[in-house]
Amino acid sequence: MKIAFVSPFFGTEAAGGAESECRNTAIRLAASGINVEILTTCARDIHHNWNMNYYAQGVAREDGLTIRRFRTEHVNLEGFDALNKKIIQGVKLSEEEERLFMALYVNSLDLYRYLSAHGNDHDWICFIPYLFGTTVYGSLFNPARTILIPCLHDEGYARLQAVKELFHRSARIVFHVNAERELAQRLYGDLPGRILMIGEGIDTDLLSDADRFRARYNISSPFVLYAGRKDESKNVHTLIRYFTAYKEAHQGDLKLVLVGPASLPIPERMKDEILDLGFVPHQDRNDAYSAATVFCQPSLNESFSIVMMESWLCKTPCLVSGKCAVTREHVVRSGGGLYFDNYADFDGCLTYLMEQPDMRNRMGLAGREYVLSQFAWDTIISRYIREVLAD
Amino acid sequence: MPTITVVDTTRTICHRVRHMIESGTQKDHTPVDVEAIVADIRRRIQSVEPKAEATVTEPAMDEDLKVACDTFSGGHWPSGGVVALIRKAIYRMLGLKEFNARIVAILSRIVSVLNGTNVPESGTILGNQHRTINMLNQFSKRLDQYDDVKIAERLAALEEEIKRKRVSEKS
Repeated sequence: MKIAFVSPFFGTEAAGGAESECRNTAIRLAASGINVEILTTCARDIHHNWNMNYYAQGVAREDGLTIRRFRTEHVNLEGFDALNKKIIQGVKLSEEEERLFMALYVNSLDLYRYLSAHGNDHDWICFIPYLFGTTVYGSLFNPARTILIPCLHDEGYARLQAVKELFHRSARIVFHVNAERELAQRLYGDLPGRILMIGEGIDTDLLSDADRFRARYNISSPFVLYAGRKDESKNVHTLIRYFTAYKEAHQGDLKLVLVGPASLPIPERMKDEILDLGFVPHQDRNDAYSAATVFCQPSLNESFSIVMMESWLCKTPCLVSGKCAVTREHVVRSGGGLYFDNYADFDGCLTYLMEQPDMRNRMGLAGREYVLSQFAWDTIISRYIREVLAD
Repeated sequence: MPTITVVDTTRTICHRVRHMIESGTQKDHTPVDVEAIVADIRRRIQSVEPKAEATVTEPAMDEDLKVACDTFSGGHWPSGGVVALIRKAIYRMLGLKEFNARIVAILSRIVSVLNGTNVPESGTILGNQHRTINMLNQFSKRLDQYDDVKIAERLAALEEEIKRKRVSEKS
């Protein structure tokens, strides 16, 4: 069997959950004996100007994969920014504007020429994620062999007509969780392609040491942990605000520890209560999961949330926003934590978790069991082979 | 005994031992009913009192406003400290205790609108401030428990409404 993954960005330096999922899934499928080819651009990732061809074009072999890189089209990024702003603000684009937007959002005519000429050489072509010209235009060539791994979020981009058509023409669609599938059906109606609930693979052999973290960062208090990008798109500002209010209402030495890139303002009087450690090495982050009393994922818009899985592997329960259908589904299905819709919930749930160590342990173990049973790589690759790639 | 059986048995034993070690720390094997726990937490919250985020007592707010208005009533254009006090009072009227840079920027613009670009004549300040404060009070009553996403939009709308009000007052 020969398959291809089409992704706008690919490589160890490509930041982003979809890019990471693409790479890890492709490597493991290749290791299981499938001939896997990566079709991608020379651009680095979404955080870097995609007019710049960071990688050389051509063919390379890495980690058992054949990687074909194609040059991106040089576009007017100011024009893109203007249209992008409209979408983020919830403004509906005209048909013409939408076409222009998709034309500006990471395209490679060389890649499309390759798909046109060689698409039939592959049994399946997997497009990930849903947004970007490479997926929207790339999937036009061989829809009957198209597998869409959308990583769908409830956002303005998902409401573009071109995206609706993409979902309707894809032969198979791979979702991470039920909430993501329900969102797709709500936005696009009944889909003709085969719907598959597969999940995302997680490295389950995660090693961590709580004492090492506490010693290295000199933190002896119990703490709530957030790991990930610290910006408003992840709703971290709400976590900071809620935790500040919580500390003003409760005695105790509970801290909030933040790890990850970027930063948000922390009230001066909370500098000793909210500790922003910035970007920390991967092993330190794993150690932090174990040392934390509770892991908090406040994001309103996740399509999976790997950090929650990592926290559960370390047996730490999760407190998530109930407004994010995906993370809420995770905690309800697993029994691995609680969810909040507002500050009163946050206060009540955090107080409950702090006062119920036995239940906290049960939730941590339930979360771990959920990850091991649902998202271990063996399970995911087996599902891909039996359900996604099989006839 | 065929080797394969031995290997399988060893794997099974290892798996069971690992499971026993993990489950040994579990005191209760029943599934955790998250929905029931959250519902129970919410019932308990409601039975005590509605827990509002960062609530501010009215007396504290009134005290700040009184100091501000007393200063104005003397006909003195506010110093930086008093402007900060007014800003603080407005924050409180809006029910805000923590705010990001964007909200601070919007509120600062509101304050600058309230301050006006010219120094008002003595004797008119108090009346203007009272009208403005009353108006803000009305707005703040309409602002329910603030929503994470909508707050900036609401404040922007508030700012626009204040500007319109000032224009109509002038005319």
